[in-house]
Amino acid sequence: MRLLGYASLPAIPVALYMALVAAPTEAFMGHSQRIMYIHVPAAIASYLSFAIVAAAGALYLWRRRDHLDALAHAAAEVGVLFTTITLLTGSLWGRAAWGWWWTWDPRLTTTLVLWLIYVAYLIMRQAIDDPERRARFSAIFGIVGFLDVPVVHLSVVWWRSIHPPNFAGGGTTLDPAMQQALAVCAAAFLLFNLFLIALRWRVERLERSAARARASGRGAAGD
Amino acid sequence: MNRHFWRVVAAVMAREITAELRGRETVTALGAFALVVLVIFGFALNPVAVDLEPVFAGVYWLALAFAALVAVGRSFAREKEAGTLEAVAALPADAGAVYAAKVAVTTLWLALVAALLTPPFFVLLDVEASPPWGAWALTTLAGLAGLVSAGTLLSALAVHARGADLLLPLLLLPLEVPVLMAAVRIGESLLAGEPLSAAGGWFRLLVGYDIVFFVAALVLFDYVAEV
Repeated sequence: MRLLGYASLPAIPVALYMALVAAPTEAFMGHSQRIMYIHVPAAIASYLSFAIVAAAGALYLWRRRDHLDALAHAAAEVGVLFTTITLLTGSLWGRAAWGWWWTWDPRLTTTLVLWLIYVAYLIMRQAIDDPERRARFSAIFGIVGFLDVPVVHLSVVWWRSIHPPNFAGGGTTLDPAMQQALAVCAAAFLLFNLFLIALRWRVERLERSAARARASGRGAAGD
Repeated sequence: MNRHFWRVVAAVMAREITAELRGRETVTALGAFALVVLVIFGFALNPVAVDLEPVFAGVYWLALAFAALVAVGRSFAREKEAGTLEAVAALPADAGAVYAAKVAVTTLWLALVAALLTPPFFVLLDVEASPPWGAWALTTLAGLAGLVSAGTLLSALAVHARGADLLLPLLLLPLEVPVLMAAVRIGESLLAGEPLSAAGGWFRLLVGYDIVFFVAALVLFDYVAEV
């Protein structure tokens, strides 16, 4: 984990430099186009986080190790954070590029549905008291929620394609310098994403062992 | 899927159907609920002033989705109230069989409600289009199966949580987005007088969703029922 921290902390300033200074300014949109260097990597990072939620859930159902549930919880929280960043930056971009804050663009809509699914996941975790049952149920919902992602995306793409799009999307070619900046930003975000999950995972495990120690201490005092 | 599995499915279905025939509370209450939703839509959308045909499929599916939400919520809440939840979980059987039976019965009740309410829907919202009825019924059944497949699994999760009534819609509605989109799009196409094949891609997506979520839930249900 320390390695991830050492790797990701300098990566973020480098990525920001690439995005804000080194990458050329876009001809039509000017500086607001630079939102992309945050928006796209954040979206990729959130997909990775939710894949971790599902994988940790499946492993939990198989091996029943408490720390796997802690990992799923950590990844879900970080995933919701990055989805929120994706939605906010997408909205800002939309305002700058198309003139409105929200459009039912397929990817934005998929991200919004994803956000709703994983916010519900976190709320469900809070609503179940028994830790073992919470872990089991969260694993189930984490798997089902992730299964929904490709179906949601496919349906949203079709849904939009019936109405004419509000903007000429797709088929844009990116300047090589921009591609390079985007790749660096994506790599930095993924590292940072993994680092946050690892950090949150450790906090979660410490909290749980502290709670267990408290519970057994209280049990001993009561005896 | 051995013979034992099917025997449990049949037994649980028979139990649910007997209970329903005795009290008739589910279909009556669900039907009344869907009708109230419909009337509320009537007030909200004002069919006298506005032609509702373009949004009719959406209204129809929202009413059914709300009814499905209530139906799957009741499915396990009733067991909990009666104290039979542990008994069902402790059945010496594949928990998946209990799940499959619940899905079949709940879909059946909702299909009945939809069949009963379709005429008043068209009349009250003043929509004169006449879609190909076989395709309309098939779409309704496929859509309900999707709502209930995911819903029954999530209902079994939510029933053990605090604030189950609030939690279930929160969990279920985002997952249902593809079902609602597909069903509404097919409905619009049918209302325009087109055959089902015109929305064939959507219909395949709907059936695909049904299969994926039914199979996934069937497998995962073993982990829900653990005591």
